[in-house]
Amino acid sequence: MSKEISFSEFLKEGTFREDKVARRLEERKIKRPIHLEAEDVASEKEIKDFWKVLRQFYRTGEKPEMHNGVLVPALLAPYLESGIWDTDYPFYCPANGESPNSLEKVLQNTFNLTFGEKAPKILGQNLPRLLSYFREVASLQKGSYDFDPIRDAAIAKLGQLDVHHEEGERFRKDLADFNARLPIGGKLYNFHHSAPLYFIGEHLQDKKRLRSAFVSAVQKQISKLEERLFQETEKAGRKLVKKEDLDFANEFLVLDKIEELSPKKGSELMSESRINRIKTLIDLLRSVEFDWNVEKPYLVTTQDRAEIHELKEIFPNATLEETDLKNAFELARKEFDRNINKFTTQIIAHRKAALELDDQYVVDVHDDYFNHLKWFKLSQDELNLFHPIVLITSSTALLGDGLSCLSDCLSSNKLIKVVALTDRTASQADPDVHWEEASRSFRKELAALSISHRSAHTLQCGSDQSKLLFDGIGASMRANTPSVMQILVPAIGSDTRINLLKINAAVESRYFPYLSYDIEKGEQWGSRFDISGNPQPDKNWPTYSFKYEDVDGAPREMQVSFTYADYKALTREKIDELFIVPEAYATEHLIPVNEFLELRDDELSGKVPFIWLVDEQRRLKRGAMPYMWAVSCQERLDYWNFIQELGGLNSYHVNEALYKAKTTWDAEKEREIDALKASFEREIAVARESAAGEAMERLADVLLNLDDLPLQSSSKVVAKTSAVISTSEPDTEQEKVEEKTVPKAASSEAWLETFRCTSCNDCVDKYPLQFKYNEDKQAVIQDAKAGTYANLVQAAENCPAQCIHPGSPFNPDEPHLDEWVKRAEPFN
Amino acid sequence: MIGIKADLIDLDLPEVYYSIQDYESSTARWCPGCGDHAILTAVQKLCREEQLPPEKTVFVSGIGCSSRFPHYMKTYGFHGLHGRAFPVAEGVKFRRPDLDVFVITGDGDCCSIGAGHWVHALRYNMKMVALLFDNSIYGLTKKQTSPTSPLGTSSNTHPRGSVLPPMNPIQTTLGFTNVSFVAQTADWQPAHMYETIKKAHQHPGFAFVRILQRCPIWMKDGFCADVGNRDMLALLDHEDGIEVTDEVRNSFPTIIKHDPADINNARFYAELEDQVAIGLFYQDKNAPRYDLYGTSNLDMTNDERLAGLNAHLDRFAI
Repeated sequence: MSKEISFSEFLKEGTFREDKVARRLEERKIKRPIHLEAEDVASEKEIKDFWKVLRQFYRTGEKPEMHNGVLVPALLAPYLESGIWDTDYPFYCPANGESPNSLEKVLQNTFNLTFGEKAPKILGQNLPRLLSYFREVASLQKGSYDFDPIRDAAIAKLGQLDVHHEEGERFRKDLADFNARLPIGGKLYNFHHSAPLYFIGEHLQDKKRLRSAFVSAVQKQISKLEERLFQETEKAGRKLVKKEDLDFANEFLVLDKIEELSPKKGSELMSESRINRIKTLIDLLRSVEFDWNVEKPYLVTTQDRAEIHELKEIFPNATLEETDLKNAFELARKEFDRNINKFTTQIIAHRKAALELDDQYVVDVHDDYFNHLKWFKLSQDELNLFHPIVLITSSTALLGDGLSCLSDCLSSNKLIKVVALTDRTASQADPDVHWEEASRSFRKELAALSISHRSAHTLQCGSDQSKLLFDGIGASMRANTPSVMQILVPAIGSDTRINLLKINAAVESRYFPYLSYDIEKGEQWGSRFDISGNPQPDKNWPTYSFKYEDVDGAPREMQVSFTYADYKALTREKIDELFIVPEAYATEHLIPVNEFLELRDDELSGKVPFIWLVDEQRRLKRGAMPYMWAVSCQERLDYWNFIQELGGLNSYHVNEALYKAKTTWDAEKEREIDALKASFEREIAVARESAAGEAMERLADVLLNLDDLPLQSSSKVVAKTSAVISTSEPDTEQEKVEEKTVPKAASSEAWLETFRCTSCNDCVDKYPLQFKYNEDKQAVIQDAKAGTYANLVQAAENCPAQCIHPGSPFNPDEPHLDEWVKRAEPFN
Repeated sequence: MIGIKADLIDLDLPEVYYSIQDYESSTARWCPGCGDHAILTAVQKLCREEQLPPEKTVFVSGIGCSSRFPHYMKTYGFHGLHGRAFPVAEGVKFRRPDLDVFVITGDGDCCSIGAGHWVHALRYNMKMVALLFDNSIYGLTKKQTSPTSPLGTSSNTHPRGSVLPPMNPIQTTLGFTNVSFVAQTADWQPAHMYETIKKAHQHPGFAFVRILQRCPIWMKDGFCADVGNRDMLALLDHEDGIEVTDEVRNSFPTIIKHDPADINNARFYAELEDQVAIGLFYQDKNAPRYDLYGTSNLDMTNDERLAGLNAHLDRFAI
């Protein structure tokens, strides 16, 4: 076996090599699957001694000096070994802002749209291949890139698939149809440390579209208002036609009469104050038209993040500010205050204009109303037009000095969107704190702190699943409340693929669970939570079935949970903190950590928790963990249970109430069932007695009125019996089905039972214009009228499978038609 | 894990796709109306549907009209010795388990001169498909009585009619040790024939299919006359049997429910008096296979072989 395959290679960041994948796949096929290795049996005394050391290790974390070598969590081993895994990146955002989705879904949806029910087999099979071509090209790109060239390259490559003849033609036609339906333009986004920021950029683009729609509505209002004013000046300046103007027709016109007859339009002039009001409105609306086309979204970042992300490229049309965290909050607040007042005046102007146009503006009522209208009373749709202030920073900064600023910002309820990026895929030890203390302390949870401000929209999300992240960010950006988005991103400069796995593992292990708190989802506290983005959200830990071979090589399967300890073990330095227990010493006191954490206190004594690991030779190992690992698992589990309860799962009070309700309900039903049973038995007894009498009566009736009985029923019975007798076979399995007539088409056009064709070449050789082979090399009618009716009849006569039916003649002028019709009869 | 999934490259996608034309070799030189055309098409269709790589597929035949078959397939083929198609195919399968092996044989080739090999092929139960093209006459040599010619068939060898009752290949196979797959179909029922060959190809062992085949030149009165006679065939139907569409199923006046696990009933239906049953008679997926034994030492290295040989030779050392 090649020694080149090693987990360590993968775990060392930055060494992933695409070209090795194929070879790895091959090698994986030959190697033995993950297995338990046979070991010598240990004597009782040896076991006892071993466990003394092991328990000591559990308490203190101290163990005999030894390196564990390269080990990975069992559930991740198959992925790490092959170096092959992926999620739903790249993510596609169309140019027109319509339904962005992961590329995989876009391809699948387009395929379904193009072909509907008649999905072509080869292209359908090759969609994954097309996606992998896309990814191949995409992997050379950075965070964001154009869709079109990548699509062209991928489609062209798939077009070279080795398929020829008819299948090839069909495949290439299908591919062309499919390509024609694929979207044009738009952007693709890779898994990248800036991915969340790109998504924010997309949502700002969305806002831009909304805003320009609003601007054109305003422009319409302006022109309508101006029209009104114009009419008014017309009215005001209206003069009677003077006689002198019409001297040539003086004697024909009676101008006084005409004036009487002409409509008295606009006879009521607008008040001077209304005219002024409208003029002011027009000025205000013009400022919307001008400002909104110039205004840019405002983003403020802290230095640590500004260094990492190429913000100018990500947000080309935004005002960017870079400062320290405290100042950032201050700037954001100021910018918001400045913008929101102007925005509110402009929106009010829009509302007023609408009222003016409908002639509904009542000064006494509306002046007062609009004077006291504050921004937070605007409607959701209106607020949606506002450019929110975006503050980009890191979670560490926020949880450090920035906590009070953040709290102030969230309580002020201003539309400031705080983006907290974190690339800490593992907790880093604080050198000042003793490790035991550190493990005991609880982590500060940004999301939990944010939720406690009740009105702030909160999102905690890994960046491993593009659609989830994009939608989460979208909801957060649209919310008319302050928002906190805490997003786990890959660290810059590291192998992104390893990070993808690590971020995913962080979410899976409940280290960084998905959580969204959206105040607009409902009045009730519970309805605002969503934790469905987590794997198996109803369980403590996600659990998967795991396949391996036991000592004898027999295939086995067990349920393995992916716990926080597994996640921790993904970090190389941490692996050495574990104690590998040989199989011979694994007693019933060694239990998986997920089960360990569920034990009651009195069951814990003497037990040691472990996780399943796999080494480079695919041997399954048990890694016992020290007490502190178990404590930190418990800490994560606590936080997860907290989130679960918020999300409405496993709520203590609900479960209690359910249990109580169920017990009372069960007892009640039990009583009801007993009562019903008793009454049923009574009724049966009564019925039995009366039924006997009735039966006798009926029998007597029948015997007395024998003649009137309908005879049909008895003859039917006889017929049935004879049918049974006629199939006189040794067993009952044979059944004769009644003759079914072959469906005949209305004998007008020629038809062919293709499924019965035996491909003898007769018809296609003799009458190639009228018959051809289909893709299965069975005959179909190409064009019956391309030859004579006589040809059809002859073809039917020659057909050894007798599956051609010439139908009736189509050309009445054909010679000897009568004879042919007669000859066609047996085949129709 | 939900988030990550094995990369798509991991999917086992074929690199090449084959059309029917990729399996077509020269134009078939069978007589017009011969049932062999239909069988050829069905087999080519199977190859395309299952995307069998031509370079990994072998057709082995004996002698006879049917045995021209390998010439018309653009795969590997072996047009062999009369009656010896089975031994050749077994040899191929014994050491090349990666190849898909089909045996094409006729009623003379299989049931007469090759009968000895036939029964042992059944017992060996190596994974391959054996198609018996049964037109109940020797057509290539212009009409001599074959073992399956109906009693009284007038031919060059028996101008006044054959004098022995015909053998029933289905009954013969059903009676033999370790038989694992026996099916019957008719070339003029292309849909049923295709499904039968497909089922045979999926069978993990020796799949024997007798195909009733028309010979329009030398046996005009044989099956050719039966094409229009819908009462002649009875369909064996079962969920474990040959899957056919309702359209095909309804075209049979007689449908017999038959569980292919039941060999006794299979023997009964093999001998129906007025009709011929088509469908799957018997299948046993667990019958022992000789080819697995044959391939058990394939991955031995030369050194290991040498060591083995030496070990044996050392036993004679003094």
